[in-house]
Amino acid sequence: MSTEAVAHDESGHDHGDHDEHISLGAYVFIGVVLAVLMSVKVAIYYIPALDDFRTPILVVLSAVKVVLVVLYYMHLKVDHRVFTWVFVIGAVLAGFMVGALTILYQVLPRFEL
Amino acid sequence: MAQAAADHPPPSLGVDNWKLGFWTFIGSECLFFGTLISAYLVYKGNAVTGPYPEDLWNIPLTTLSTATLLFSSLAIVLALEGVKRSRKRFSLTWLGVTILMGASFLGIEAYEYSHFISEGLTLTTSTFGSSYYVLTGTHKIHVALGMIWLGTLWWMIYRDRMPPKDALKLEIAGIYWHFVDIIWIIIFTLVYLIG
Repeated sequence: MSTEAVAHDESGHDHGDHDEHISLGAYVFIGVVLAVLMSVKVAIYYIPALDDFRTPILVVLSAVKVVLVVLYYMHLKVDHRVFTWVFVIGAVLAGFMVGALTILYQVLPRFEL
Repeated sequence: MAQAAADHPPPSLGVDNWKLGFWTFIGSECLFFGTLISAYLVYKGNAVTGPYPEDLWNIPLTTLSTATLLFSSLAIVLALEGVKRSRKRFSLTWLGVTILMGASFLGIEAYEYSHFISEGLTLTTSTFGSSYYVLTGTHKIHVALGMIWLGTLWWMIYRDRMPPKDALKLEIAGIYWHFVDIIWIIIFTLVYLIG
C-alpha cells in the first residue's frame, strides 16, 4: 500500500493537504477488503454454531471496517493529526454513551439488582 | 502598532479552516447518531405489540443496500482522484456512480419501509417502530442531502468550475459521504445483524 508522509513547511506545520498520498490501487484494495469483511459478517449471521460469539465478532469486524474507511477513504492516515483528534473525541464519547446506556437499560435489569 | 501586526501573522493551527470546521461537525454528528442508536437499543426490547425485528428483517436485501453504499464510498474517492489529476470524464463518471449508488440505496430502503408498513410497523406502533424509523430515517435524510450536495459538485465539474486547486470542495463532501457510510455500517451491525 503506497502512502507518503504529509508535506511540512519550514515552520514544521503541515497544511492538512495530502497530494496523492494514497494510490488508486490502494483505494480499490481497501474496497475489496471492505466487501470481504461485509460478506464475512453476513455469513456469521447465518452460522448457528457461532451464536454465542456473534456479537463480539460482528462488533470487532465492524470496528475494523470503520477504521479502514476513516484512515484511508477519509484520509486521516495522511492528514493533520488535529482532524483525527476532533473526530476521535466525538466518536469515543458517542461510544461511551451507547455502551453506558445499553448496560444501564438492557444488561443490568436482567440481574434485578 | 501596524508594524507589530505585520510582524505577527494571525494565529493558525496550520490547517485549512473549512476542513477543521467540517471535521468538528462530523465529531458532533457522532454524538448525534450516538443518541439515536442508544435510544434504539434501549427501546427496541420494550415493545409490547408486534411486529418485532425478527418478524421483519430481510438480511439479503439489507446486505444489498449496504453493498451499494459501500461501493459508493470507493466511487467517490476515485472521483476525487480524478479532480486532483484534472481527469474530467473520470471524475464525472465516478461521481455519477456515487450518486446512482446513493439513489439505489434509498430505493431499496424505501421498498423495505413499504414492506414494514404493510406488515404493520409504523412510527406509532411501538417503541421499537418509533426508535427504528427515527434512527434509520435520520440516516436516509443524510444520504439524500449528500446526494444533492454531490449533484451540485457534479454540475460544477461538468461546467469546468472545479480545477485541481478546488478539490477540497469534493474532499469535504467525500468526508461527509464516508461518514454516512460508516454510520450505516454501525446500524447494519447493531440493528440488523445483532439486534
